[in-house]
Amino acid sequence: VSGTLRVGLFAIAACALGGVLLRGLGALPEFGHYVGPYGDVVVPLAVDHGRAIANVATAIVFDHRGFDTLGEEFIFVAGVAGVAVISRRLRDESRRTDPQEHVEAVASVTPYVLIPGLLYSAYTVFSGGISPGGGFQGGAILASVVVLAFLAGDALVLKYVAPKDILERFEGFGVSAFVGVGLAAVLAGGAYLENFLPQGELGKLASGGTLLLLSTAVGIAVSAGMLLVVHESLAQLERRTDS
Amino acid sequence: MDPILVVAVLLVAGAATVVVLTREPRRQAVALGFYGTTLGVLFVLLHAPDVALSQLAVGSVLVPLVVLFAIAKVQSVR
Repeated sequence: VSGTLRVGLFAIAACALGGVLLRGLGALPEFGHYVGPYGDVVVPLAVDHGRAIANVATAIVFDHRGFDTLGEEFIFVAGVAGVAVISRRLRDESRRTDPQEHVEAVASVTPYVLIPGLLYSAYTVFSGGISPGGGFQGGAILASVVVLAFLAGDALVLKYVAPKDILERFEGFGVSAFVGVGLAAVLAGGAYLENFLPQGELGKLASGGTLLLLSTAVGIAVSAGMLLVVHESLAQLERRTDS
Repeated sequence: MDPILVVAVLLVAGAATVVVLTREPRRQAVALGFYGTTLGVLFVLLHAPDVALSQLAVGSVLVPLVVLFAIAKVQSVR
């Protein structure tokens, strides 16, 4: 195919696609105006009818779509396991120990960010039912904070504060806890993942029943999983291929 | 549309273009982190703070970090 023909074909295709796109965009509802019925159904379900969850986004994640979140948990674990398998130690690899470099600017800021960061991640996990946050967000923040300590020059931080075997246990515990809360609901006489705890008062930290337990389980699994990926990557850097 | 929203959208588009146009992988990882941050700001302005929190932690810290790890490994093999 010659260059001119290719450009010509592209021009025709781009015009056709552009025309269809513009027509579609013109028919969209006005920006920021939602016309679907879903919100009107879900918001009362989360806030009023026996659930008392102020943050509807979290109510959807752990309550109405709790089973989806369970699937996402397993996808996450499968991803972490995949990284661990790919970056396992090969037969022709040996350890290499180079002194680790670090940036002064990062190292000097870290002590002031570390403790507030850890507190904030815990707050994000536990307050998911009443304000923006939840298990995934809090877990990701926790992992980021530990990564910052590692960037500040202490690769040992990761090995001592969060050793690999402990992370692996936390990862497994987090996922099992999510499954377990669902099974407990069945034992209590409800459907899988249905709430069986007192709903609490709307807007209070201890509200939403099992939501807090599920959020905490996800927070543990996500932070441990992300740190495991960092661990594996770090171990990979410390190895050298003998050949 | 709110003027602040227009600025945020343009910022996201600009940062995304910078990521595409940066050719050096290490610089690109840093640009990717910045792009993730601008996207987080946009999500906050669009009243999606839950998504913004995930975006900030994953998009601006953990993904660029994993990219940097991969680059470091490739360069240590060469």
